[in-house]
Amino acid sequence: MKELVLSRQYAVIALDGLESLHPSVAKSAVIRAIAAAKVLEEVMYTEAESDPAVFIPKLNEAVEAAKDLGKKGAKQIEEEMAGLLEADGLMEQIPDILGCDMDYYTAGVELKAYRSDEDTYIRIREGLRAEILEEGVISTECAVLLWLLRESGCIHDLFSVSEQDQVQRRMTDAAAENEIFRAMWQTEFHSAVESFAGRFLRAKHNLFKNPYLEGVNLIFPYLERRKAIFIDFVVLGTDVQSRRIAVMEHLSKMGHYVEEVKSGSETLLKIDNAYYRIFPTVKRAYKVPIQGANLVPVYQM
Amino acid sequence: MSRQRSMETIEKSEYVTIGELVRLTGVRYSTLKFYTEEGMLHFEQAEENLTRRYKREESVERITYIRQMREQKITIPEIKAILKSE
Repeated sequence: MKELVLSRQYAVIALDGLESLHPSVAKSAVIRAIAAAKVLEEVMYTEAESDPAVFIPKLNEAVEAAKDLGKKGAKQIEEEMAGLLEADGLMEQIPDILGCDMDYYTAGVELKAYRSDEDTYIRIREGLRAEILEEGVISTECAVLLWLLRESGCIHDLFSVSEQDQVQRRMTDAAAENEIFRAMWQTEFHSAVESFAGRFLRAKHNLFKNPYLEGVNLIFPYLERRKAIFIDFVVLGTDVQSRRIAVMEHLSKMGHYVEEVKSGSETLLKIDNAYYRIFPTVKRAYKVPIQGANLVPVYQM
Repeated sequence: MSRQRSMETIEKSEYVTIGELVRLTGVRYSTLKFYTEEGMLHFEQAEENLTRRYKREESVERITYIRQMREQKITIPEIKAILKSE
């Protein structure tokens, strides 16, 4: 496995599944975090990463870089990062899953999304999960990665609701012992993204802890990173499994990696690096019923 | 606080953490945790609150072996029985 610097590790996790051709709030948050990661890289992997006198001013500089990032700068960072990862075979652009939705598909709208290399994605994501959720020392690299993911609303992609409590406890303990972690945990730049998103997101921030609306104490901001879609099909007189296969064939034709994953009594679909719950439904257009299936994103359970 | 070990260092180490095993094998953390809890993967732990340490070579070999058996559609209880009998 190739060793990746902080900003690239973060980009592999955070850019995965995001639409590449058009701007979005979720992508704006990710690009800001990449800008911050690039500043922090100047002190990472050296002795300075454990020296608060050097690291904390750099952290402030990173936050300023993230907050002040303009549209032009953001586009440049996105293109540069995507280009580097694509050159290394760690990322590719595929048709966005939203483009498989009946309304978008039939309208001929072109939507593309980033897809990270699955093996690299799993190694980075699961490595981070293991280091945070297991007892033991937390490295600065891991803490910075977690902080960047928190600030860009990616926490739900990595940790379940109960795990988020565990993460919070681990980081609170680590912050009590370590000045750098304490400073980092108190620092935020997601407000810059929120002002862009407007009051609606701020209201959400105060209300929701996770995408399923459970709980009221929001620890991390939540951004819409995944999309629910509707796929229509004409397969009359078939069972649930063959309908699911019809959906899988359609998604494969559109360039996605799709596989069935058993989760207890239900079968989920793993599409690229994300999981979806699938259920048959009927949509009406001009009073005409259209048979199809809904795909709803499933976050960490 | 410590620095994350490079892959080069990990690949030469006698003992690794579960996070490093994830990086070495590409197997999910939750899967390795499950294997550990089911006694399919052995570890050493000096004290209860200290990090679990896995023998690198032995663990990587065992994970590869388990993966091969899973690919042959052998169930977890069967794999456990096979590992126990060896």
